[in-house]
Amino acid sequence: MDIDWGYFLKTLCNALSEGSIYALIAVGYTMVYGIIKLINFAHGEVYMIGAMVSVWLFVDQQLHLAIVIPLAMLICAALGLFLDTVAYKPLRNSTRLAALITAIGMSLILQGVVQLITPNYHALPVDTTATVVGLDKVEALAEPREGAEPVAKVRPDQSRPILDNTHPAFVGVSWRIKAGEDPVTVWLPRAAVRVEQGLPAALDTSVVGDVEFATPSQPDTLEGEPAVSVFRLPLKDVLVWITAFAMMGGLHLLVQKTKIGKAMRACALDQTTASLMGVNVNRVIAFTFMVGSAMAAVAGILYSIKVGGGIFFRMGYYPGVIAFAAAVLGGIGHLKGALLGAMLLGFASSFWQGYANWGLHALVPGAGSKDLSPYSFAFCFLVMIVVIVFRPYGLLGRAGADRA
Amino acid sequence: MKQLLRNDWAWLGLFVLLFMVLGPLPPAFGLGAIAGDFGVQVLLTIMIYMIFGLGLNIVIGYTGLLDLGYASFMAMGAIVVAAGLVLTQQPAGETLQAPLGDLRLTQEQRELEANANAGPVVVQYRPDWGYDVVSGAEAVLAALEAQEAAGPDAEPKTLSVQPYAGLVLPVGQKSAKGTHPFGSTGGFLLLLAIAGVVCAAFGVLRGIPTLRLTGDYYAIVTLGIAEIVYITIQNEGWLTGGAYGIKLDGETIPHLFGADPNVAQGGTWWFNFYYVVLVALVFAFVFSKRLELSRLGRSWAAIKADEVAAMASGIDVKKAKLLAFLASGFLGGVGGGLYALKLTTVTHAQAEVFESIIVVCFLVFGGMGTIRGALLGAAMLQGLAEFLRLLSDPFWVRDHVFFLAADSELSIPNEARMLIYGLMLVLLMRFRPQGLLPPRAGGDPPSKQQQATWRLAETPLFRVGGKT
Amino acid sequence: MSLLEVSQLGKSFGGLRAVNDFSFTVEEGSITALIGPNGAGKTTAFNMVTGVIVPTDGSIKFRGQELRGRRVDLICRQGVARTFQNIRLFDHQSVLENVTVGLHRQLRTGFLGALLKGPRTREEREARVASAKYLDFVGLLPRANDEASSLAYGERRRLEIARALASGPSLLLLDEPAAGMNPQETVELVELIRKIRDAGVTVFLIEHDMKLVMEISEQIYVLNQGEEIARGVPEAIRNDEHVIKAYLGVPE
Repeated sequence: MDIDWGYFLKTLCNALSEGSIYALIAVGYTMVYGIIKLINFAHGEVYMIGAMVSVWLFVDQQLHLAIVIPLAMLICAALGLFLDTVAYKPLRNSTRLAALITAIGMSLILQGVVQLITPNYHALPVDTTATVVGLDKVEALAEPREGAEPVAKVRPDQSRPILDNTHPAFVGVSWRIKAGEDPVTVWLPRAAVRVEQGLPAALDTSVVGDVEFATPSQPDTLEGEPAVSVFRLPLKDVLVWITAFAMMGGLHLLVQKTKIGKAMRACALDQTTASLMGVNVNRVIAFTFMVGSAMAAVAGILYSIKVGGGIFFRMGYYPGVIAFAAAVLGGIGHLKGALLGAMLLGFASSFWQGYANWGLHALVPGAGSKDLSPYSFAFCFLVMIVVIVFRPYGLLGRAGADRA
Repeated sequence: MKQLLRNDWAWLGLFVLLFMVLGPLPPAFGLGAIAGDFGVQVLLTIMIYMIFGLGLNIVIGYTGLLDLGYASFMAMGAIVVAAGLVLTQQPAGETLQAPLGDLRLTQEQRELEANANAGPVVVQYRPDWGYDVVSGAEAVLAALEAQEAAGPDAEPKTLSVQPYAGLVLPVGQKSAKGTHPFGSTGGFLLLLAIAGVVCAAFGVLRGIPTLRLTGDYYAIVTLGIAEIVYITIQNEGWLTGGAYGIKLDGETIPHLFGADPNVAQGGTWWFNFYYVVLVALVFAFVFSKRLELSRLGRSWAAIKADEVAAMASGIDVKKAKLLAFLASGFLGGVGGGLYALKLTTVTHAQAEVFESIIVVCFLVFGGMGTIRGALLGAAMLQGLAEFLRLLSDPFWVRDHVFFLAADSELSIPNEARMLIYGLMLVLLMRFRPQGLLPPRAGGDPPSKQQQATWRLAETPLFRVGGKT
Repeated sequence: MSLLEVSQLGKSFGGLRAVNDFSFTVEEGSITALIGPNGAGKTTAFNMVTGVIVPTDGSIKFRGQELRGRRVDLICRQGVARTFQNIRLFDHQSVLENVTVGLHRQLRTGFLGALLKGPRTREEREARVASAKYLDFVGLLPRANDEASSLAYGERRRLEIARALASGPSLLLLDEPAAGMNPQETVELVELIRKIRDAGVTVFLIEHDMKLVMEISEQIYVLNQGEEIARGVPEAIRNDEHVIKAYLGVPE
């Protein structure tokens, strides 16, 4: 069997980057859950705001990345502090369910606020902004033809169109014709729609180096020369890995070597005892929220570097849930566990996307054009469910850990 | 008054009365005499969401498990009904027989194509799940040319164009009326029951792995399962219509009590449908209430309060939980099925996590664990949402909000709903975590006479040791 | 044959041996006590008998039937009921409803029955009456309609006993029933326990109040650090030097 090593390495790069981003989000979940036993549902939104802020600073304000990273971390740390102080701190003594519902509420609030103040990013699935050329054509279509009744009048000023890019030949353009009704979708030939990328992909073309792989199993292609599969190692992936591992290392040192880190570990073990020993538990919790949020901000920046699009108010939801799954998978409360779990899910997701269809067609001859790649997140969720049901204490955790 | 506020039946009576007064009068008097057409649609939505609220209340309110995946049931019920109606449709007339996923071009279309000017492609959806190409784009034209080259007698070519239910332009011939086995009132009710049973079965299946979980781990697992269902609905287009959903139209929507949903008799149809939904709401209420007051309802309440003590009292906790999932799923399926007819387009959007959270909000707002809370929460929050929907239309605002200038551009995006629900959850948990109408146990102490009656009564259920 | 025969019961939590090689019997119609210092493994033994914890080894025979490894609710159905050390009531339900939950195993109506017949059935009426009679039995009838959380400490204990009795047990396990009670309440509790025994329910209890234990027990087992150190009638236990040592500590 001939293996396309270039493709494999590309998938590997994606997996490492995806895992790095999940890891940075997951540490926030795992630290907060370790101390106050709360699934901080709004954590995914902190990540989303980190990405938003970084795009704003980097693209609109033209700041250097070396300034953008600490600034975004600072802003998100403040947001984390705000979340804890305003939403969670008053509920320390109420039920865990109340705190969880509050967390869901904060998640909705943050999404709603971001959605309201960033209308440009409104519900665009892939690209950040879009201009549709030839609206007159759409209007013309809606005009009655011979023997046809008009169904809808498109009012392009009503709301921004939503684009669907899933089809190779056509682009689906949806408008909400009348508020409250379902959007109407018109499928236009790709040529009629011009899509502008929102983020300048400054880092896109930079390449650390080309690594060439020969696949000698195909000697008879093109006058008997071996086919060459070229793999280019993208700079942005390298940047993602270095930043993520530096941050994780720094966090490890913070938790293991500093006084506040010791206090955090003490609170995770037993809050009452820690407070009796003179630890200001509330301050430690607030600090934990700040550190976790700053990490999520870095994850947001790295995502916008790596992907460069898809930055909108709901982007935090899936990565948030998957990062929580990663934290549980590794064993909640363990930093190393979060890293391990995130990497495993990053690999699961990327390799599913890269190879699920290939595997399907290799195993099931009659599979036809069935596309399994959209199920990569479903696969991650499945992993999470299996872990929670069968090994709730995670890979690195101990049996008997709290799971209620 | 206080007693009345705590009486679920009083609340049901109040709402049924409101729905009857505000709802459509018999068609002779015109549809939606008081509330108007839009109002009737709003009332329908509220009633259906009340059914969802009652269903979810069984798991969250009675059994005390925070279920974040109820949208799966709502969507699956809708899909079962919509797909059931569409798949069993017997096509009549010159409609296409193409299965979903490919596009056959018939002679008729080729002629149509020859007459049409080349413009943007419009793919027309047909109720029998085929798709007409009405006018061409490059890909279609190329295929047509290939077809022409092959000669007129060649087999119709199959194009690998993905099916999309796009802008429907009724060009060409309309097919004659089709028939399907669920086209009558009885057929529809049967289909509704099937939807309920399918969702109840899914509830049990989904419940099995979660039996040992409580609290936030239960919540996150139900969320995860709901996401898997959502992704599946989105991607399994052969059943669910994929991202564009299943569309019901005048030919697939069943007749209700003889009324045809098509334009001429539409008023009567909506009137009949409105009362079907109202009856379903009363059914869901009685269903919930009877379970609540039964031995099973007591088991749920005991599990909610203390699982170990419930077990030690002889309750089979796993069985009781599975029955809760079953009952909750059943109501979700029935509500979803009704929602399919109200929406007429069923998409994966019904399975989104936000849909689940909306219903959780109703319960949190109204008071977890009470039927009256579920009813009140659905009425107030869904009503608010519909009002926000109006406010998101600048034209409506211009015409109806008197203090705004005629050229005002103000509008509140419908999505502000998310923000408002979020704020509401946070504030409620902070200041009134029990909701507006929380459950209340107890009452006045029993009278001396009552106590005496109890003491004297004989029952085989009372025996300490050998004695009774 | 004894009502409850437990042999070589053992439980390990990780490396910790909470209960080791503990054998005991509870005779039908008796009041048997299990005592020992804190952390001796008494509650663990109770939890194993009622199925809340699965034993690591040993066997538990109730009327000759093996209970080990059975589900908690099935053990209750066999006729073993219990109360908890830290009182586990259904706080937000009424006192009467708490007892009605206890009646669960004696009632029949299932899912479909509830839907078809509704709440106004003969069984439901009888359940109400029976619950009231159990409340009367423990002296809580006047509080029947109050919320369970509003009861005073001693009343909560008695409500828990009423709920346990409602399941119609032949063996009742009481985990520290007198804990936190004042002397007056303790006297009433002794009366209640005797009344229950006299009605024909075997009582097996854990208790720290030695006066109470010595007063009502016929047989006493003493656990210390998971091991049985003494067994016998109250008089023998009172004078047993191992027991005195365990309670007072070993003089150096």
